[in-house]
Amino acid sequence: MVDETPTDGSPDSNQANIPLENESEWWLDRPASISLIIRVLMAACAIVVFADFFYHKHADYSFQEWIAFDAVFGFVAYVGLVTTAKGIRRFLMRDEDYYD
Amino acid sequence: MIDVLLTGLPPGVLLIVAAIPAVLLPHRLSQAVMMALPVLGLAHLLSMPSDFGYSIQLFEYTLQVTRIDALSRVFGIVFHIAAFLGVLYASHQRDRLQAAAALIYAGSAIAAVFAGDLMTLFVWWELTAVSSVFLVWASRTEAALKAGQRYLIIQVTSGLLLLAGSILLYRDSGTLAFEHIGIESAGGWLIFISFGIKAAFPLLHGWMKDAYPEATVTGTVFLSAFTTKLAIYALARGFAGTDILIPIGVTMTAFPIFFAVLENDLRRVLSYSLNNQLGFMVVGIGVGTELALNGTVAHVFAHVIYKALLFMAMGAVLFRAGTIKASELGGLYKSMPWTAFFCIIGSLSICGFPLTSGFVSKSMVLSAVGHEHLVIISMVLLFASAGVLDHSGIKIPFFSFFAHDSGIRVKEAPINMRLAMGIAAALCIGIGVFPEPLYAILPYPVDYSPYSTSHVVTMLQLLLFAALAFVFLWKTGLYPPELRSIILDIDWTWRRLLPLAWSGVSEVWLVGQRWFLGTADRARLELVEFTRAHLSPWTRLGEPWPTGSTAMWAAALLFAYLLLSF
Repeated sequence: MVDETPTDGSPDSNQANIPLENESEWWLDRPASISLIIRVLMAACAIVVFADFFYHKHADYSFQEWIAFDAVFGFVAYVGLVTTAKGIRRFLMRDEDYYD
Repeated sequence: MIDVLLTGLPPGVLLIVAAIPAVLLPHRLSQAVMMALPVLGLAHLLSMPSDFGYSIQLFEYTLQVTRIDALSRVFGIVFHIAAFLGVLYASHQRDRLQAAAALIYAGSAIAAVFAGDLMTLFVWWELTAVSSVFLVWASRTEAALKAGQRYLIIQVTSGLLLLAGSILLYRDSGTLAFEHIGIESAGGWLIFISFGIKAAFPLLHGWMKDAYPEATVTGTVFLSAFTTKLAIYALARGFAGTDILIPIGVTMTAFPIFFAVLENDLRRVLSYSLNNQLGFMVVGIGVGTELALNGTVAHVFAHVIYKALLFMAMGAVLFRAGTIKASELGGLYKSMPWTAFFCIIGSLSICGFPLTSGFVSKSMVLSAVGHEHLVIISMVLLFASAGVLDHSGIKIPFFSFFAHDSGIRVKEAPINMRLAMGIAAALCIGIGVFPEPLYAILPYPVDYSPYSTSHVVTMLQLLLFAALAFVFLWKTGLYPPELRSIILDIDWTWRRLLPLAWSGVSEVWLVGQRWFLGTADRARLELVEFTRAHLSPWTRLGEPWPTGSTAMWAAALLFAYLLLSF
């Protein structure tokens, strides 16, 4: 199985011959599509929380059986992780050529 | 005799002995043979009895070179799959050295899991180290050369600790058999640390984030599969139920994800993410129940495939776009739609979305911890699961294929890369939808159903709301921008601190030496000066004494002697 054109991995040999300006508009480039995706995500979030009212939760810990426990946990954990990491960045970030 | 050799030698040896002849063939034939090798190896393994041992006698030692049981078998199977995917992914490449190194590396990792004694394990353990470093060096850059050297030193050290520990154990117990070891003896501790280095325990993990991103496009795919999972196998065999593994593992799940959030090199992000996934496995081994060990092994199986898939996708991006920095990429879905699609499947899988392989395997580990009522451990694992969504679920596909269009327009990945990614993606979904065949080959009988309403809904809540949190942070501009930078980690200690400390020590030594020599020289001069001042012929003490006074002093001495002798 050989690639169509033998290449050494250098960017030149991998360029596609598609001029940028002739591109048709992509669906994801439209702001309306992005807000649609976000609305779908929010709807999905609402559905999975709503689902909590309709079944008996089996969890290993009693507090996990609270309505929307994992939803709140997921949101808070994610925001906590990213903001903490942002704080750590101030101490640990260096220029790319730091080790050179 | 030939018959015994063929049936008795461990699977994996085939890949090692055939590697060099295979790469010397003409390109197409060579690729065909190399792809056939893992298939043949797997067929050989599956045809062997599920409980099998083969020993040889070396001097007074009995070495069990082949041991097939439920635990080693499942590792052997997934390693063969990974070897096949890796060879297929690399088949456009005309680099004989790299191809041979990759096959020998895969073969020695496979042979290692079938080692029934510690000496045999040691031999394969070191061969994985020595062969895999060529996958780093094959990048042929200065950075790769140096990273490879650091990698090799650390890997070989791990092997030496294994050897030293084995000798101590042999002295104590008189056997080299590789069974449960435990950390009750000094030998056990040495082996524990040896395995811990390869499993990238916290603070011993620096080699992985250092070397893996420097390896070649195809090399990292192989690297991601074998070394660390061999260590997980060894821990599961030798240290199952060792309590200290639980805090170690849980630290591994949580600690690297902060770095993964910040790191700009996406293959380095994947290395941190690999470290985080290993944490789930280490926790499972520490818990040590049948469910936990089954979960660990299932997670290894799922992980080897989705991790290889993610490294393949990022490798394809690096191969085509020439960079893998998040700050330079974006919008690549327009040029590489297939790669983007397969990457998203890998991402969903590592996050553990229902209907993917990660869900059916990680759930087992989480349940096993829950059944032991280790509440803090459970919560950290849940936190880490939400964290996985950031670095591997969102960051990897989002910043390479979507985000801001970087204007980079490239060709789609070569057909062989797409095929390898396609097969891996199909396996991720296949295992997620039909987990039974995987459950059937786990070391213990499985009585577990991942698709309970509670599991599915709670996992979806966790992941969807974490995704919502990303949207929130991104839209409000709170999400940290990708910057051209590096993030310091533990390897800083040996790349900066130790060299600095060493030059500090040599500085102090030089200053001390200069002071000492200077002082000694001054003392010598002063002594010479003193002697000259007081003992020269013209001084009071140095002048010649008259014979008379000499005779008088001699008489006085004799008189004193006479007095004292009474």
